[in-house]
Formats: sequence, C-alpha cells, structure tokens
Amino acid sequence: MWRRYGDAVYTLLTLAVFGFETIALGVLSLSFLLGKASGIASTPVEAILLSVVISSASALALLGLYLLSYHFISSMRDRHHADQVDTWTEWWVGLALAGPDEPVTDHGRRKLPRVAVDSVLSLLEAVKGEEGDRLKEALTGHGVDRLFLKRIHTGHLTARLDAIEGLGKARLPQALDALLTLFRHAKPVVRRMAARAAAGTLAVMPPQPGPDGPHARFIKAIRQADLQPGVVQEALLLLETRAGPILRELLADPDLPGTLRWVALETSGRLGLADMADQVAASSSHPDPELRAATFRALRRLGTVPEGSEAQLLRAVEDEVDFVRVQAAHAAGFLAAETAIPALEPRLEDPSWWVRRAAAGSMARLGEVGVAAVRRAAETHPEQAAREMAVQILLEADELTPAAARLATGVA
Amino acid sequence: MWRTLLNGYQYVLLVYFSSLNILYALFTCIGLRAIVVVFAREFSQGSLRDLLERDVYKPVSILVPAHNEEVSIVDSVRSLLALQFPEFEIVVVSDGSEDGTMDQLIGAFALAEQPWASRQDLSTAPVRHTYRSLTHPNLIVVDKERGGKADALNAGLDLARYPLFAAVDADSLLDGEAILRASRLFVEDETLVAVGGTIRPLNHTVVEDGRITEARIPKKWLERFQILEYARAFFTGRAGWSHFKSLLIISGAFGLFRRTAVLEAGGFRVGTVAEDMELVVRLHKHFLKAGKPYNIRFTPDPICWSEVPSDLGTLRRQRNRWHRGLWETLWLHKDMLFNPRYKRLGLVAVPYFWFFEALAPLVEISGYVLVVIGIFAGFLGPKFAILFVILAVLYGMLSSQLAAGIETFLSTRYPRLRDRALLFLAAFVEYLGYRQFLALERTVATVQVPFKKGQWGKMHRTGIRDRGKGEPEEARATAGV
Repeated sequence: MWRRYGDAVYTLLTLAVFGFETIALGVLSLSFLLGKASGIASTPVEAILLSVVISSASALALLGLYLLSYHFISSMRDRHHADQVDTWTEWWVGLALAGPDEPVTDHGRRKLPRVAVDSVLSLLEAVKGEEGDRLKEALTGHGVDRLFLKRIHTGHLTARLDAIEGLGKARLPQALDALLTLFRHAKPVVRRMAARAAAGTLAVMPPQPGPDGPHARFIKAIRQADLQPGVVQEALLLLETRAGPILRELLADPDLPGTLRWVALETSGRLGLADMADQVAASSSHPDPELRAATFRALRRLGTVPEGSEAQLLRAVEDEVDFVRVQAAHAAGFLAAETAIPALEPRLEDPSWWVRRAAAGSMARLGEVGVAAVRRAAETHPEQAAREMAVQILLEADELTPAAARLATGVA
Repeated sequence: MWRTLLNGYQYVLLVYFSSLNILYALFTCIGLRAIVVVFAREFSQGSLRDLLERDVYKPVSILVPAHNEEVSIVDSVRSLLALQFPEFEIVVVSDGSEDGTMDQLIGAFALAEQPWASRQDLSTAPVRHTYRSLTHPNLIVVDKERGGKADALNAGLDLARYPLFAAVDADSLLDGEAILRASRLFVEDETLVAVGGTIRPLNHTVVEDGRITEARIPKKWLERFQILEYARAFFTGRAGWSHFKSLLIISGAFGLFRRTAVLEAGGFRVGTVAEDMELVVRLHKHFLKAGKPYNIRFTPDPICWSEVPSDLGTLRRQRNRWHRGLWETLWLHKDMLFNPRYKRLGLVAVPYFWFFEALAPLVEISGYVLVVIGIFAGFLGPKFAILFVILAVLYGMLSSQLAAGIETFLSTRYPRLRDRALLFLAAFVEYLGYRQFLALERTVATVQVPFKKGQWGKMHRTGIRDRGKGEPEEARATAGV
C-alpha cells in the first residue's frame, strides 16, 4: 500500500518547513507589530517580508525538487524491483530445495540487499518445515537476525517497526524473548506488532512444557502486558495449533483477570477447540454477564454443549441481561430439539429483537421439528413481532418463498 | 479613526494568516508521521491476510443511501459486492427515488420483495418495500419515502445486523481492502466508535471490474484543484486532528461506525446537510457527557474514491452545502465552544472550526478587500501588498505540496512524472481565481445558512461504470442528492 523508502527524508523536510514557517511568521508578525509604531511601510518590515518570501520560495523549490526526484527514482525502482524480487525468490527457492549438505549462505555476499531480505521473508510466510528451516538458517548465516534484533532496540520508530515486522515474518526462535520484552513498550503500536510477531514465532516452535518454557514465558508476558483484548485475541489466534495448551492454562487459572478470561473464551470458540468445551462451559455461571455471553458464544462456535451444562444454558436463555439471552439462545440450537424448543419458543416474544432472532434462528437449525415450530409460530403466534421474526427466519433459511411470506404477513 | 481600525485589522489578519499556516504545517508533520511510520508498517498486506485467515474481524453492514442514483447505483453495488471481506451485508436505501434507481437495482440483482422484521430502533419516513437479492443473499434493498440522506441512513441502521456499519455514498468506489483495514481497528481498540478513511477523487481514474486499477490526473483544472484540496484535508488536517483525539469530521462518503454507539447517540440527525459531521460531533459530546472512554479516529489506509464535481455549478452548490453544513453543526453544538466540560474538543477543536474554518472565507475575502483599500488609501505600500500576496500564495503552495507529496508514497499514486508536475503547477494556478471563487461561495453560504436549512441542491453525476484507459468520460445524467 505504501512505499517505505525516502519517507524519512520527506518527514525531515516537512519538519524543516514547519520549523521555518513558525520562525518566519513569528518574526514577520513581531516586526509588523513593532513597525506600526514607526509607520506601516517602514523599510525593516518590508525587508523582513522580502526575505521571508525568498526563503519560502527556496523551501518550495527544494520540496518540489525532492518530490519530482523521488517520483522519478521510485518509478524506476518500482520497475526494477519486481525483476529483482523474482531473481532473489528463485535463488531462495533453490536454496530451500537444495540437499542438506549444500551451504545455506551465499559466501559472495556478507550483507544481503534489502530486496533479498524482503523476498525471503515473503517466501517464509508460505514455506514451512525443513525448507523453511533452511531459509531461516540462511538468514541467520547472513546476520539478518542480529540486524533485526539490534534494530528493535534502536530509538528510531520506523526502523524498529520494520525490524519487528521482519522478525514476525521470519519466525526465528532466538527472537522470541526480545519480542516478549516489547510487550511492555511505551508505544502501543510497538506492543501490538511485537505481540503478533511473538505469537507467530511461538506457533512454529516445538512445545516445551515447564515453568521456564517458551509457552510459560509467553503467558507471563501476556498477563503483564498492557494490550487491548482484541490484540491479545489476535495473538492467541496466531498461535494456531500451539494455542490449546496456553488457553487451557489461562482458563484453569481461577485468578485470571476478566478481560483475559473473556479473550480466552472467545479464542477457544474461534479456533474451534471442541475438546475445550468443558473448560469453556465452566464460566457459564460467571457473575460477569460479558463472560457468560462469551461462554455461550464460544459454545455456539464449538457447536456443542457439554453434558452437565444444559441446565445452566437453559437458565441463561432467560437471563436478565439481553445480550446473554441472545448468545444462550444461539447456543441452545445445539441442544436436543425436545429440550431446546420448549425453552426457545417463549423467547420468540422476547422484548429484544436480537433474542427473538436468535431464538427463531436456533429453532430453524434443529431439523424438521424445529422448522415446523418456526412455521407454526409464523402462522399462529399471537404476537405480531414473533410472527414477523419467524417469517424472516424461514425466508433466510429458504423454507419460505418471498411470495408466501408476503401472503403470511399481509404485505401487498 | 478608520485608519486606526484598518491598521488594527491588518494585524489581526497577519496573526490569523500566521496561525493558520503554522497549524497546517504542524498537521502535515503529524499526519506524515502517523501515516508513514505507523500505518504503512503495522498493516502490511501480509499481516492483514494473516489476520483475516484467522477470523480476526468484525462483520460489517454497508449502508448505501441513494436518491435518484440510477447512473451509478448498479456499478457501485457491484463494486461493494466484490469487496475482500469475509462477512458483510449491503443495505441500499432508496430514499424516495423518482428516477430508475429501483428498476435498475431490481433488474441487475434479481430483487424479490419480502417483508422484513425491522428493529425500528430509529423512527424514519415510511418504508414502502423491502427486497432481498436472489443472486446475492447479502444484498438488501429498502425502498422508502423521501426523508433525506440522514433518514435513509437511519432506515438502513434499523435493518443492519452487524456490530459495525459503514456509511458509503452511492457514487463512490471503495478499495478492495478498505473495509478490512478500517474494521481491523475496531478489533484492537474496544473504545473505538468511529473511523474515517481517506477520500480521493475518482474522476478520470481507470476502473476495471469495479476496481481502481490506475489513478490518473483529470484533464480539467477544476478537478485537479480538488485533488490538492482532498490531499490537504485528509492526509494532513484529519490525520492531525485524529492524532489529538479531536477529529470532528468523518466524510459521509466513507466512514465506519460501531452500531450500538451510534444508536446510543440517537442515530443520524434528520434535517441537516452535514449529517456526517453532526453525528461525529454528537458522538464526542455523548461520550464526553457520559464520561465513557471512547475514540474516534482517521486512518489513511482505507481509501474511498469519490466522484468530485467537474463543472463550476455543481462545485459551487457542493461547497455551498458543505459550508452551510459546517455552520449548522457548529450552531447546533454552540454550547461546546470554549466549554471546558468538553476538554480539548471544547477548548481547541471546536474553536478552531469556528474561527479557522467557518469564518475563514469571510476573513479571506475581507483580506483581499483590505489590500485593495490599503493600496488606494495609501496606508499600504504596493510593494508590501504584492510581497504579502506572493507570500500567501507560496505558503498555500507549500501546504498543498506537503500534503500532495504524501500521495507519492502510496502504491496507487498518479504514476506519471508529468502528473506530479501538473499537481505542482495546480498548486499555483488554484490561486488565480479558484480559491477566491470558493471563498466567495462559502461567504454566500454563510449568509444563506438561516434561509436554506437542510437544502441539498442538484448534483451533476458522471457515474462509475468501468472505464478503460483512454476511454472518455461521458456525462450520463443529472441526479439530485
């Protein structure tokens, strides 16, 4: 989306123009004010104005020259870049597919050009396993890891973010701890990018249980970090197959802060970790309605309601908080029809539009019996809102034609 | 006496001019830093794909209000349907259209009328019919009686199912990843209630399959000037205000909102011509009053391409409407001005919009008049006056170039060196009448505010159908908004 070269110079140029304008206009305003005392057209004011005009014209010329030159050079660079990427990608693919006895570094080059690093990092997003390991070995051989690790501690934000992104793509185990330390960085953008990069790295590391293993260190870092729940969720999702043990450990902790528990529940559902359904359901009676809702949302995504949780779910369908009722009504679609329908039918006249929708939707998913119950509601329910919602759900489920729906609701 | 007053006013003008230019330069610095350092790096294409594949997004309802948009509605909806986003619905609301808008939609998307269980969170003008597409199940079309753009958006909100909604103009094209990039921000910031994207002029771009494949400089100077104006407004102004958490405007052409937050604030206000700005100001006010944490921000990445006026008449009506809208909003929320209860909004942003936006055309016009009077009355030397005008033009060019320069870093930029040179030239040429013309129109609008409340005016549209390279644009219809 954005070109990432020449921007630092442009930022400096902008700062220079800003500084210049501030000083020049300040001096001009002051001299104009002082000039009032001795007549408006006094020579000193005009001289200052003239010098400000000349220096502004120079600043504009410099800016114009930079922009035109940048445009020209970047156009040429863009044209050559694609060819260079192809050449380097070919080289890296050859290296990845070479036998284990082949050297992994290009001894002719000590330092890799940026395009070479960019192309191998792009490749590493797709290449995994032994081939990926060879590419990582090559990166390490050329000192790219050391360069990135050095840069993530520099004071220059641009270089630091580039380095974090590079490490996130390379997924080098030796970078994990350095990334974890950035979870408490002062700048939110650094924390966010580090969390994603660390999670991606941990996802390709072999499991090492134990209190000092990488998983434990990651959990500790997450708990101590000042990260928004959405960012923690992203990080946990990026863990892929390594997420299970971490989520289990988080949910098993009775002292887990509410936001982290919410994230763990959401992530378990999104990752479809059905074997965690029991642990997820354990929060179904939590005093915090957000957590109760997250529990039922997760169960809905897991597509199961574990044995022993049915009673809590049925109670939640009548919860005093509407957004809990919504999620519970959705999850109730995974109960047996004979249990779910009697609980969901009364919810068709719930004051909340969302609960009515969730209840009718869940009933329609319960097979023929459920669809028949919705159809019955569409035709004979005494409440107009319940009838309308039932018709709506039947339409969306293709159980009713638009013409029949119009007939049922009396729309001309 | 008169001379003393005029001399005093001269000083006021200079301080005004100095403050304005320093603020512009400051916003450019902040905008550039925010864009280049943060957005360009945090949301690379790879990281976005990664997150999308892992189900990290919030589904979005896209609301498209349309009144007599037969020229562009089908292309617009087609381009929206092609967006790269896993879960979204499109709610087109035809707001009392009298042309072929509904026929076009029914024919192009096989719409079938059906009843719809609306939540009726907001009261709107009566809905005549509701349709769902048989070919695109995520397309819903509402045909309602005329109630204005805000009313149409409220009707769309009543039907929207998802936690986020995007308000998109029917004559606009979104970049494929626009929704994804904007909605990502809601995942990582729970306090975020609204995000505004960047708007760029659509005129003369190459459009293929509903996507912009090449940006090109329009042939008319009028359209070229607007490229600079949009760059100044979005890449610097809004980025700067967003950085200070004081963003007051999210363009009606493309903004993404948290649905519950907007409903909590009462939806869009009917009867104003600046429903976009009014909503944002009201959201600020609502959350500040309630003492709830919230965030409203601008992000440069999601880009929306919107058709800009290509004739003076349409431009004049548009700017008149925009300026009246600005006044309407400021007047509706006049209690915020210098009110410490509203923190930096009340003490900085709202006063800025009163004095440097709403009153700016009056100051500009009075400045021109004063220069002429000063020369003839003999209290302003011609040399001084000329130098001052040159300085004003140079500073204007500097702020335009700094803003338009940011565009060179975008991958979808104006590709030819000649285009860049033309933009440079346009920054100068716009001072030869264009800016004065707009300042005059905005001054007229200021006077008209009490008499033309809520009036939109006719807009001339070209449409956004696919345009290959070299294919001439063709005026196809006149549409009212």
